[in-house]
Amino acid sequence: MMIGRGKYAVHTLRLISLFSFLLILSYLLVNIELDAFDPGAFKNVGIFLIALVGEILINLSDVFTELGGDAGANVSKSVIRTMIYYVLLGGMDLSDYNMTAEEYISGEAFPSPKIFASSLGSMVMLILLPIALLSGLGFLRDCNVRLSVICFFSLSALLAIAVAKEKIELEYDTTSESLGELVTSPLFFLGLILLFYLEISFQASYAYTILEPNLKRSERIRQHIQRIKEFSETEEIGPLKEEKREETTETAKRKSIESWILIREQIEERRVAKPRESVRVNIKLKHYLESLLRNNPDAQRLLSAETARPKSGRILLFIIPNFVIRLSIVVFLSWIVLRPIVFLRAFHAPDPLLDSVESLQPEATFLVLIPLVLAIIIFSGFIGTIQEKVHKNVLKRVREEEKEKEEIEKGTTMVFTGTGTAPSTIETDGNS
Amino acid sequence: MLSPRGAFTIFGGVVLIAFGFAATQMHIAFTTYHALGGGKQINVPEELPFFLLLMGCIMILSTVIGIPIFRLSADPRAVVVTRKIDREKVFAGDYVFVEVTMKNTGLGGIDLLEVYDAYPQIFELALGENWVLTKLESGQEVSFAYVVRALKRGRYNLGPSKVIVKDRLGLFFEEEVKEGNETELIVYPPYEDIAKMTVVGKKRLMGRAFGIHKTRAKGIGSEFFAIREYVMGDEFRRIDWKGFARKGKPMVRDYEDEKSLTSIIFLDCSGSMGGGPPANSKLEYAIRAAVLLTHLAFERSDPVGLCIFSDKVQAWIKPGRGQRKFYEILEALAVVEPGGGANIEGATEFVLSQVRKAGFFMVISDLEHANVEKLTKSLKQAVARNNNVVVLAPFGPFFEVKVGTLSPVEKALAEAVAEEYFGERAKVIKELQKAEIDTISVGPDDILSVVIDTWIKQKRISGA
Repeated sequence: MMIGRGKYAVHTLRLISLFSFLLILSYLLVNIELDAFDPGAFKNVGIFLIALVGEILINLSDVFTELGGDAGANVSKSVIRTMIYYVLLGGMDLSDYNMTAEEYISGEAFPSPKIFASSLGSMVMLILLPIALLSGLGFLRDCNVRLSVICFFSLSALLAIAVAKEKIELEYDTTSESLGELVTSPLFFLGLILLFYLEISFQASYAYTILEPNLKRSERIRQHIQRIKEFSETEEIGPLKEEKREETTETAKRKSIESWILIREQIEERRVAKPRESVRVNIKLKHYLESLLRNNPDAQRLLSAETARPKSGRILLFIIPNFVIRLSIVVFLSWIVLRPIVFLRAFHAPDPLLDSVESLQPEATFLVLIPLVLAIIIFSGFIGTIQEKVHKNVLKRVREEEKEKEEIEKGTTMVFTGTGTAPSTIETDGNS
Repeated sequence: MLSPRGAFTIFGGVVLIAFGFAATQMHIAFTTYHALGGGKQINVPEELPFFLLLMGCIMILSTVIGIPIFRLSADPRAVVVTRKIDREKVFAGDYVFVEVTMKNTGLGGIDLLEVYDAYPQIFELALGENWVLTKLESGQEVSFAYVVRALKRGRYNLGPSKVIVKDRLGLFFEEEVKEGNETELIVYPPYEDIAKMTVVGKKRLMGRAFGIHKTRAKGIGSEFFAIREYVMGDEFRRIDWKGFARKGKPMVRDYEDEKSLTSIIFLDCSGSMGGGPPANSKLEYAIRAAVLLTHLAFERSDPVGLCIFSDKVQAWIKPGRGQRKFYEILEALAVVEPGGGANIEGATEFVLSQVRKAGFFMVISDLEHANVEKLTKSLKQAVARNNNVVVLAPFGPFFEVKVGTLSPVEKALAEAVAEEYFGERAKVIKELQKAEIDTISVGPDDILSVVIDTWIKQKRISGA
């Protein structure tokens, strides 16, 4: 019952990740031409690969013939192709490759690599789609980041293959320098939603990681404490008791003298039975716990780490602005990296560089990406150095405060640190 | 610093960028090939390289921009971990409540903080968990607790704590082991034997001892004994005037004092005493026996001293009585570790030089390193000083062999070894008997009852 409470941050983030996942999936399924998912692709890929293996064998037989001269296996290429066609390909229709069986056997035609590449793309898409679907839905179950990463890569690959196969039309102006145009272009927008999905799944996983174990722990320890509190000696021999009760009831029904003797013996046995080691330890723990809870009212909260459990609302409050800021920064930096000309112009790069065709090439992204990444890393190092200095001062102050506190405590209370100090155990019932 | 997840994201980004460039190059290659009349035109859409580059860049950038934020907020050094325990000294088998507090002294909040608090492996986690996963704002302080059961006597350290700081997306992490924040805990030998004896066997065992401890010296002291007639030489201050008035003749009050039995325990902690399963070695039983004897003596206000020895005297506690002395002895027993040889002669000489008053010497040793001649000679010296000496000798094979778990061959070998041991032991016992020194071979089952019987016997003898 407690597990259900305090997890709405996780549920909210799960819901957002589900929404973004469905958005991408529906966008892909609506915009991708359906023939991109051609089930015949498996067949075409198979034909090509078998034909390729066949050609390799034929070439090898040529080598053997040359090496062995007359003694070598002088096997006709056509015979090998016929065997491949009928035995391995089962006399399949080769019309997808725009050729007939005769053309293949005679060696006049070979399955086109272009059609093979296209079929391979379709096959991969057919495999990736259920993977993306299952991993995307699987992530919702226990916020496993691996599944969201698989889903992200599957969707990205699906999209990339669809773009490569020209089965989806995603408008994008490669010359535009405007941030607005970049963000609103379908291709960038789709990439952004993919990133959104990845980020939100990471955030959901974070909320899940920080809330779920703590909630489960609280519940587990609460139950444990309850069980210890309710523990009694007779409870330990529960199953045995049940068994004996049945036996005694049956025997008692007979109402014979023996039955009454048996019952009496059993009662006596139970009364004088020596408690087992585990019972003794449990009773001791029960007494200790009782005394602990009596003396320290916060003990149960500390044991269940309730004090360390972050509040769900606060987590959500932190995640959302952080997420929006992160995404905005990533979009902005991506724009700078993908449109290096803007960056170069801002830094007054020489005109020949600005006017060159190379500055419009994809390779130009490196001009900005690498220095940008390095700058961020150096900046982080700088922050780390400052942070270290600040922490040294803070720790020094904390230690001084602790020292002062200790001195004050020493002045007010007497602490036995030497030999001969009694442990408090001896005075409590639970431990001695 | 970069977590596997972060490394994977960057790697994924690099791979996507590489694919993006590959797609660009493929486009150029195919176009050139076609322009040179090399077959059909294979078209690589312009959007493909851009899309791959875009995805690669945003993956790298979304990871990298987290670094300064992480640096700014997460520093494990800024997390101050303190530990509090509800008692610093416990008996073996007791529970200890450990409260761990973390405080973020840094400037930024920590999104994900994992703290693992180490406890000795020999301890048992009875309740709660020794780790926590939380979020810690700047200046915030959170605590958690767990209960451990100290199973074996000794001096232990709780801690250190391991602090792991992660960012929200799990891309980066920093960890630090907080060396030096350990908390010392002293675990005394088990109190169970005493508790058992007090609760279960009080009526029976102590009943046997009842009366024996009333070894009194009449005449002096503070406790009233009786009224008798005055005889010449009695002190006038002891005349009971009321009795005089009642009887019509002078009567005096007699007082008495309890005669105490000073016991010195010689505990052998040589290497051979460590034989057997760690929790039930000869030394562990010997310590339990020492605790029991101390308790028995202190119950009757008899002074007890302790000499722990191996090659040399490891610890010496002068005879004394009272609760403080009891814990002093327990503390010495808590930290005993087996090692080295056994120099009983040296220990006896040392104790005899320290103690003048006659008493009861209980030597607990397996006698495995004993030089019979020297041993007899030194113990004879103790007897000559009017001390009663009893040697309680744990018999090795009883502690080390579990007959039920052995194969027939192993069992035969064990019996042969036990026989050899027994032969040697018999020789030592014979020599000691000549010097009027009782030697009792004990096993784990009877060592404690033998201690009780021996002590009762000594009380009786000393009172006779």
